[in-house]
Amino acid sequence: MEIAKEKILQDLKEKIITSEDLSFLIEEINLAKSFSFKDSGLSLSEKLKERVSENFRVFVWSLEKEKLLPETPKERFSFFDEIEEELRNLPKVKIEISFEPSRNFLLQVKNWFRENLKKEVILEVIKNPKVVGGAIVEYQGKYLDFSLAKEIDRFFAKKHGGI
Amino acid sequence: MKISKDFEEKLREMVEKEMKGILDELKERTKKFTEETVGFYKNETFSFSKKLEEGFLELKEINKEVQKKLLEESEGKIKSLEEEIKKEVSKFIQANSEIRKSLFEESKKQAESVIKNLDEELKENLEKVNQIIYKTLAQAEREIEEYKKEKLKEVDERIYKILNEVAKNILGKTIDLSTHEKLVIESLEKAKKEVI
Repeated sequence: MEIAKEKILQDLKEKIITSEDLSFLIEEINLAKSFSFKDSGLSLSEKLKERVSENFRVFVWSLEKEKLLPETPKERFSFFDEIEEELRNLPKVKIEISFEPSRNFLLQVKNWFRENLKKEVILEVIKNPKVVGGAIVEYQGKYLDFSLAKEIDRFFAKKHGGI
Repeated sequence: MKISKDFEEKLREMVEKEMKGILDELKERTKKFTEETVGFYKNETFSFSKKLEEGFLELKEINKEVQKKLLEESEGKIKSLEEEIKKEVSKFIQANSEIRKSLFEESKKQAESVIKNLDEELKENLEKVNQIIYKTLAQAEREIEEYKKEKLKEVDERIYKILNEVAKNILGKTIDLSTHEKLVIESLEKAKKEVI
């Protein structure tokens, strides 16, 4: 069961890109937790129908199909609770950029972190036109400004003593 | 038959005499009857007067006693009445004092209530005035804040334009989406080299 849980967690970690995705998923997990105790003779995936996103419902359904979901409500609650806890503890990276990023680009950034840091991270993206270009990155208490705004500022500082 | 004159004279005399006797007797009897009747009525009247006088005296005595009794009773009643009046007066004084006290208390209460109401009204009005002031101030602050934001936005937009122009000059081209994405990845690479 532990190996199965690790696999489920890995799947979920890969699917979550931003902090908004994480909040949304946690809300769905909480619904699954509360519906775990409601005995109506239906499976959990059936009980969650039209209450959660179809992706999440299919995810629960696949767990049921593969018999990875604990049978008693209490165990099921703990199972989801542990998943939620793990997800909440995922490292977060704050990125400040000047444009509205596409989903694909965010996935590219997430993959960059996976390849380079060997970690699944949650992106907290802030759109700030003042950045002009590049990015300001905050990770584990470190603040790294590689924005064009800073480059321009440096340029003017050298040439004219700042804007 | 022929009646002699003499006989006739004698008969007349005899009838007259007889008649006179009868009349005298009748007179005597009438006189006697009258005297007896008068005497009887005199006696009766006297007796009646005496009885009347006695009755009157008796009545007078009774009247005196009744008057005395009545006087005594009246005195008792007057005393009792006086006592009652005294009590009533005392009660009245007491009641009057209580009424005055009650009126005073009531007036005091009403005055306090009026003062309280006035206080509350004053507080309410002050609250209303304060609310109006706060609202006006808040509205003014909001307007100032909006104006400030608008002006800052305008300034920011000018700065972005300038910065973009500068960036364009530095890079030699306009920053499109793919360039932006490329610059972000480059920033991450730099970050990796520096710290991460």
